[in-house]
Formats: sequence, C-alpha cells, structure tokens
Amino acid sequence: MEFVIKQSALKDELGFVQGIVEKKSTIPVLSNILIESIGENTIRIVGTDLDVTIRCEVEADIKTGGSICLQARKLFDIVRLLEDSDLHFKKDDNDWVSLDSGKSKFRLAGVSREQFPEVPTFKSAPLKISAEIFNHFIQNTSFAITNEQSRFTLSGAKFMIDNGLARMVTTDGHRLAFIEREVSTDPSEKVDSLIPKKALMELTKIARDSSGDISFGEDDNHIYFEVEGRLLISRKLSGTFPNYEMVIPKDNDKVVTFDAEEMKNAIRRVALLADERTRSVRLTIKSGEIAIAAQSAEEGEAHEVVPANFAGDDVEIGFNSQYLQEFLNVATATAGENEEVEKEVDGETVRVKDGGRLQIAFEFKDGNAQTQMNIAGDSNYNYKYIVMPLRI
Amino acid sequence: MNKIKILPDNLANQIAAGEVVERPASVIKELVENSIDAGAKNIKIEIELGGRRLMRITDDGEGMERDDAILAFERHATSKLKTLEDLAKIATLGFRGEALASIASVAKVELVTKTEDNNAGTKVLIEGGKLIDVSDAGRATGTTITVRDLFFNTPARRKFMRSEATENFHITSIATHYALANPPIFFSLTNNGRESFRLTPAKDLRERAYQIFGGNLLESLIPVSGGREYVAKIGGYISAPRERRTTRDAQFFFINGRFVRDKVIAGGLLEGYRSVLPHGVYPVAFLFLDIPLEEIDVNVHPAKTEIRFRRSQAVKDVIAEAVREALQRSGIGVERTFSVPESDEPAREIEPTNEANIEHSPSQTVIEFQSEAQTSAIDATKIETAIANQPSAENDRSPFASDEFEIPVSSNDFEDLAVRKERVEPVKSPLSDRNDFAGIGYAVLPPVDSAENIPRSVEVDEVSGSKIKPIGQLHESFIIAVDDEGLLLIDQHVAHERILFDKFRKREDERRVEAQNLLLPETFDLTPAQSAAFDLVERELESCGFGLMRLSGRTIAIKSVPTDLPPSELRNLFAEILDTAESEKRGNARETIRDNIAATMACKAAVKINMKLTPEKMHWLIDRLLVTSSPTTCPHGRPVILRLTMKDIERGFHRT
Repeated sequence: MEFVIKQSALKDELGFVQGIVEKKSTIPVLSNILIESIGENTIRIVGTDLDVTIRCEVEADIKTGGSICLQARKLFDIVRLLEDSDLHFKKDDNDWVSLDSGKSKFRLAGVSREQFPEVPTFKSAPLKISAEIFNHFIQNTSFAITNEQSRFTLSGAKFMIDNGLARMVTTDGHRLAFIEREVSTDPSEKVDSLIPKKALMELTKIARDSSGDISFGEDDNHIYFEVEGRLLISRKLSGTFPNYEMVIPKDNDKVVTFDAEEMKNAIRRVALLADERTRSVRLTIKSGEIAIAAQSAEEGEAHEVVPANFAGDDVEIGFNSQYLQEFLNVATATAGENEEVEKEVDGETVRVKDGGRLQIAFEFKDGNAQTQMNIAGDSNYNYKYIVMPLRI
Repeated sequence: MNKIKILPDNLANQIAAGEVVERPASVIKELVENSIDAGAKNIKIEIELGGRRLMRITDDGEGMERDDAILAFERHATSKLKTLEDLAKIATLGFRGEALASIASVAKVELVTKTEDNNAGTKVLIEGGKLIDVSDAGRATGTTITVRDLFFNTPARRKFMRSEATENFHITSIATHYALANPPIFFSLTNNGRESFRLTPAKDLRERAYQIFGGNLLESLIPVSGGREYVAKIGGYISAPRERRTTRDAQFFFINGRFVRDKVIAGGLLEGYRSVLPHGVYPVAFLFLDIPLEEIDVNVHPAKTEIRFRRSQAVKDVIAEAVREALQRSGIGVERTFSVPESDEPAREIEPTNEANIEHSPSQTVIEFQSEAQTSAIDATKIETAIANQPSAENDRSPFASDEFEIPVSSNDFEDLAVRKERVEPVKSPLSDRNDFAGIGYAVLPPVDSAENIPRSVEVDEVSGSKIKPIGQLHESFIIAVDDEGLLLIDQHVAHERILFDKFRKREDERRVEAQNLLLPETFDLTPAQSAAFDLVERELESCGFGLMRLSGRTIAIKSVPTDLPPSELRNLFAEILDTAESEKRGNARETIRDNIAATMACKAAVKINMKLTPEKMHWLIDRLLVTSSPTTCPHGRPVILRLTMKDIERGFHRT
C-alpha cells in the first residue's frame, strides 16, 4: 500500500481513534489501528477494543491500494509533531511501513493485516437526533453511571426513543439521572438500548463540534452511530436496566429553591471538611435558608448558610457531598441561556453557558426518602436528578 | 464384692452417645446417612426448636422388617457389616452399628418402617434406651424416624446446647453437605414449619450447587477432574481466584460419597492454588475423591468425618495436581515450582545504610555473623559497643547510619526462608509453625520465626532506640535488624501495615454510624447455612448501618449500606460476615466490618516493598511496631518478623 495524505487531516482522525485504542492492551494487536484504502482517494482508519469500534474515512491520494496496521499511539505522536504538509506512507516487506514528510523519515514496524480483528460491519443508521441534544443528554447523565465493573447493567446509559420522546437514564444505585426531550423523529420509531459508558464518552468527542445530526441504528448486539462520516459501533450492554420509573418519587410534598452557583460553591467549601470516606454533609433546610455542615473527626468542621426559598418546619437531610457536587457542576455548566465560554471545572475544560442565575428546585419528603432536583424553569428538557439521602 | 462391673447396656449406650451424638446436627447426620445407605430417593428433614423438640427424617428407602426394626436399636447392630474383612473396605456411609442405639439412649425415638414385601409397617417406640412399644403401622415403603426431646435424660448435655439459631446453622450445613454429595436425591429441610430448602433431584453436582448457592457462584466454578488410578480419582468443582473466602467454610470434601473434614485434602487444594490466591484467602471447592476402599480408614472416630489415608502425601499431591490442571485449563497460570533467583548475583541487595561514609573507615565496624566464643549475645553487644564508639561529632545522623556491613549470608537464603514460610499451612498461627519444624534437620534451614520472643507490650521509651537495631535493607523490601538474640528480618510493608491498622482501627471505633440508603435495593441469595446464620447477625448488621429485609425464601434485600463501605466490597463483606457467623473466630459483625475497613486502608497506605528507607524511617517503623497490639502478625495474619537466632547461626556454622 502507498498513499499521500495531509498531515492536518490525518491528525484529526487519529485523535478520534486514540480514545478507544487500549492503553493497557490485553491483546497486543488492539493497540494498533488499521488503515485501508477505499477506492482511489479515500483511506479508512479503524480502531477497536472489541467493545467499541471507531471508523473514520478521510481523503488521501492512493498510489497503490491495500492496508497497513500500525501502533496507534506511536503513529499519533509522530503525526502530531510533523509539519502540516504531505505525509507519504509506503508499505515495505514484512509489514514495515515507511513514513516520509519533508526531511523527516520514519520506518515503523507494523503488524500483518490478518492479525487485526474483524470489526462488526456497519449496518444502517436510520434514526437521526441532533448532536447538540444528544451531547446535552450525555453531559447531564453520564456522571451518575456506576464505576463498578461488577454491576454491568448499570455501567452504561439507558437510551430510549418512543413516541417522539427521547430519554436517557443513568444510575449507580445511590442516585439516578433522568433527562427527556421531544425530538422530531418519526413517532413510530422506537429505540431501547443500553449504551456502555465508554461509547458515550467517545461519542461526545466525535460529536462535540458537530452542529448537525447524529444518525444511529441498532441490531441485537450492537448500536451504531454516525456523525459526519465517522462511525462508532458499540456492543450493547446486555441485561436488564432496573425499573427506574419506580424509584422516581411521586409524593415529595416539600420544595425548596436555591441558586445553583451559590449552593455549588458552598458545598465545595464545606465538603473540604467532610469525612474523607463517607463525604457526608448535612443540610438543614429552614425557613429562608439552608445550613450546610460537615465534620471530620480528625480535621475539624465547616458550616455555611445558603439563602433559599422555603416555608415550613426545619428538615435535616444528610448527603454524600460528591453526589450533590456532580449534579450542580453539570447543571451550572450545561444549562442557562447565555453565550458559551470555555471554563475550567475541576481541572477539565468544559463549555459553559455563562451568566444565567440558575435556580434549582429541590423536592423532598423527609430525611430518608428519595429527593429530587430539577432545574427551575428549564422548558426544553425534562431533567431530574434523584438522590438517596444518608441516614445520619 | 467385685469393684469392677460390666456397665449395663443402657449406660454404655449413653456414654457412646456422647461421642456420636454431640448435638442435634449429629443426629441428623446419622439418620441421613442411614437413609442414603437404604437407597432412598427422597429425604425429608423436619426440625423444630433447633432440633431440640423434634427432628424427623422421612425417606423412601428399602425399609426394615419388624425384627430388624427392633434389633436396629441394639448396640453394634448393623446390616452394613458382616465380617472383619468388610471392615477393611467400607462402602456404606454407616457401619459401626452405634448410631441408632446411641440416639435412642438419649431421646424419645419413634421409628415407622415398611419394606416392599411386607403389607403392614412396624412402629417402634423407644425412650431413653427402653423399648416402650412395638405395633403395626401404616406407611409406604421406607422409614420415618422421629427424635423428640433430645438429651431429655442427660441434663448436662442439654445445658451445653447452644442457641436455637446455632443448632439450626449446624443442621443446615450438615443437610447441605449431604445434598451436595447426592445430587440425584431429593432433599428438603423444614424448620419450625418453614421450608429452609427444597432441592429437586439434580442431574449433576453443578446443578445441585446452583440450587444451593445460586447463579453467582456457579459462574466462577471450574470443573476439576483428574487423579491417578489406585491413589485417588478426583472430580468436582473449584472456584476461580476471584471468588475469595476468608474461611474454609465453603470447602466441601467427600471421599467415596462421605462428607469429611480433612487437612490432607485441604492442604492439597491450597497447594494447587499456591501463587494464585494470596495468603489467608480460601477458595470455594467441592471435591469428590474416589479412593480405593482399602487405601483409607474411616473408622477413626464415631462421627466418621475424620479419615486416615494409607498414603496421605500421594493423595495430597494428586489433589494439588488436579487443581493446578483445572486452573491452568481455565487460563489461570500457576507456577509449578517457585523460581529461586539466580545465585550468581552478588550480594548487592544488602545495601549499606549510608554510602557516603564508606571510605574513611579503617576503624569502622564490620559485623560478622559468626561467633567466636560460645556466648550467644556477643554480636549484639559488639554492635552496640561499636555504635556507641562511633564519634558522634563527625556524624550526627542516627548512630547506626555509618557502618559498612559484610554479611556472609547469601541473600538467596533469606528469600528461601521467606518462601518456605509462605508454604506453611495458613491454618496455624505463625507462632505455632516453629514446633512443626522442630524435628527437621538443619539441611533445610531451621525455622526462623521465633518472633514471639519479642516483648509484646513494651513501653515506648523503653524500646525506643535500644534493643532492635536496623542495619540495612534487603531488596529494598525487608529490614535487616539485630537484637540481643540474633538477626531479624522485618517485612517493611507488613510492619507499617500493622502500625497503621492499629491507628485506623482505633479511629473506626470513634466513628458515627451512617448509612447510605439505596435507590435500588440489592438482593442477595443466601445459602441455607447463610440463611440460618443471618438470623444470628441480623441485628448486629443493622446496628452498623445495613438496612435489611427478608424477602421470600432465602432471599434478602439490602436497603441501605454503611456509608464508608466501598460498593464493590459490599457483597464479599456481607458473605464473609455470614460465613464466619458461626465459626470460632467470630467477632461481632460491626467489629468485622471495622477490622475489614481498617485493614484495607492500612494496606493501601503502608510503605510498599521495593522502597528505599532511610535509617531514621527504619528506626521509626521498628519502634512503632513494637508498641502495636500484635507486633508479630499483620492484620491479615501474615508474619511481620522472621528471626535467625544466634543459636541457629552457630549451629549453622557447626559451632555448637
């Protein structure tokens, strides 16, 4: 195989594939990517960890057709550092590949095409949903997916489309995130699948800058996504997602509203003195305010008061502060109506719609039952976050 | 008048009953064995009040003729043994002819039985060994034995009976054992009218194990089959290494269909898992051994759970081999032999604690591990003097920091010792190992674990900087130290772990109990034995934050969990508490949880092996170690300190 490709074009596509190529690969060949020629002016790049596969197509000048298989990380590192000019790839004997760009010359050890696993073939992706909506779904729910390997039915997001409503639900057994929105699909179209967390995270990377649609489809074992010519194929999670509708509280008769940003910052501060392992904070909801307190046997204690709109008797509820923080972080980062800006949140750069004073409606019954948080006045999305309190 | 009299039969039976009938569970065991020997296909067990009020076994076996039914209660009456030759190859479960007589002597027993050929059945009533009544009775072919008021005539025994829940637990485990050993037989156990389990005939052990232990365990079972002709044929299942138990309670061994507790088999099993499972962790196993009848003696104890092998080492090897093979087949690599690092490496592993000072030192101390006189304390004193003589102005680091050492012991020997320690069966406490080795010749290096000599509760100021002197590190993993009695090797990770464990454990006691309510309650399928244990510990579990609810049958729902319990450990910990609920070492559940948490934290926070320590740090570790609650063992039960005494050293150089 021999082809010439622009450095900038190749770099972008390699970047998308990196995320799924295994870092600590059990099967060595999975740390490689496959590059194949399609016709005279396209190459196809495939990377897989056998659960998730990404396939990109990019323009290139094919001299002779064929395929090469190269170590993904090394190739990406090299291509990133090369100048933006033409890269010339040529396959030599014994799967060696030479890569020339101006004065730089590399000779890379490849592996044979036969070793690379067969990836599932892309079937069809008849349904479409706006990439923006889908990204919003993922951002608002993915944090509640369990990290526990053993609970595999919870290790992804339940995604459904039915009757013109799209819905995504995630849970780790302690809390649950639910988001729903009307979409303009054919009302007869139905989807109901469990998408693994890794596939969701990679999908947001691919779809991040897309203003168009994500097409998707599914069969018994796989779910397929396509965004602007890039495909993501993921094995579906098997098993039954728990009956989430049952745990969404119906009889929470008290509600308190507060400013999301104020609450987020207060909890971040108070949680510094929460017990290291339990992360427990205590919220006392009183008329006009919420008092937040935490204490750690060795380190001391912290108190802070956040103004709130509440009338009724005092109620005390304990929470794992991490569960509150994660919700408030995404709520303040993704909701609101204003211009987007880039901002640092917990070391990661996220796009923030800045400036809106976001109100959270917090519904509860007592210190023991499910509590629910909504973003007050969000008319586009039906977004609920349900947290179980700590018994303190 | 003769002083010595032959005991009346009744009294003799009561005495024998002491051996055979230890508790209600032993009655169940004897009766179930009889049913199996009688070829029953259905065995129903009913108990009330932990077996104290009632135990009833109903089977559809061959039954007995009237005369036999009466004779069955005589001592040494059995249908299973006729000649002395038979005793050498016992193929039935029972044979001693003691069980029924013993049981009848300490309870009120009603036997109803009918054979295929007879039209009418026979009912025999016996109380405290006295025949009360024999009459006709109707029933289908088979035998029902009802045992009421166990120990009614032996108040001493009755007093020693444990709580109902405890007896239930034992009965349930016994019934479980026999159910596992006989998959084709229907078993049911009814406790105070509630069905504890009901096991329809299963086609094989796997299916039976599924009925009892549920699907979770089944996924991690690996089939074992192997063995050697004339030694032992081995079949059954063992667990993949991810399944870990802290007790041997989930190990079931059967020899020719008989449930046994046996160290040889357990040893072979563990040997097979060596280097797959860490120390102090046990696999689940259902091992069935077919051993030629003349190779074993089951007539060791009336309870017959002990067994003697003619060639125990051979049996052990065969088991270990079969287990290794099974693990390898399922893709879990097992090293067959422990590889000793190449011996041509120089002794560079022993690093001087301070390299900077090596040069300027004709006067510097060289510790020689050989004794010139017969005294055994010389080295230590020598070192101490030497250290004292160090000009401290020249070097104000800790006093032992500037010595160069030559230690004429190949470091491989140390590793060997460490390795050998690991091979020792983990049931024994590390301190008792010593005795086991006592008879072994010097060629294999003597036991070095005499760490019990180290004072257990010494005041801090008393120990600090005095007795034990660290002199360097071996492989940056073990601290080499000396004291009055010789040479010490201290596992730095384990030592630090012990120190931190004590600290964390103390903190745990002061912690408030908090519980995370679960959005989705988790269900947990209990084994029959766990289900019995659950009643014992339910309240304790609740006091430490678990919210629990019994659902139907043997399923429970967990509605809340202690907040500081990592979710991934929930199931293991829960199972561990239930599995240890009845064993000797049971603390209360809360303690277990706290121990567990503290041990996990300590392990993570402790200095690792392959980490260089400065002399000050070694000193600090040793000082702190000595004031911990148990300086010689880590929270997981591993030894912390190995010792090579002067005596051992002298003997090694043939100086004694």
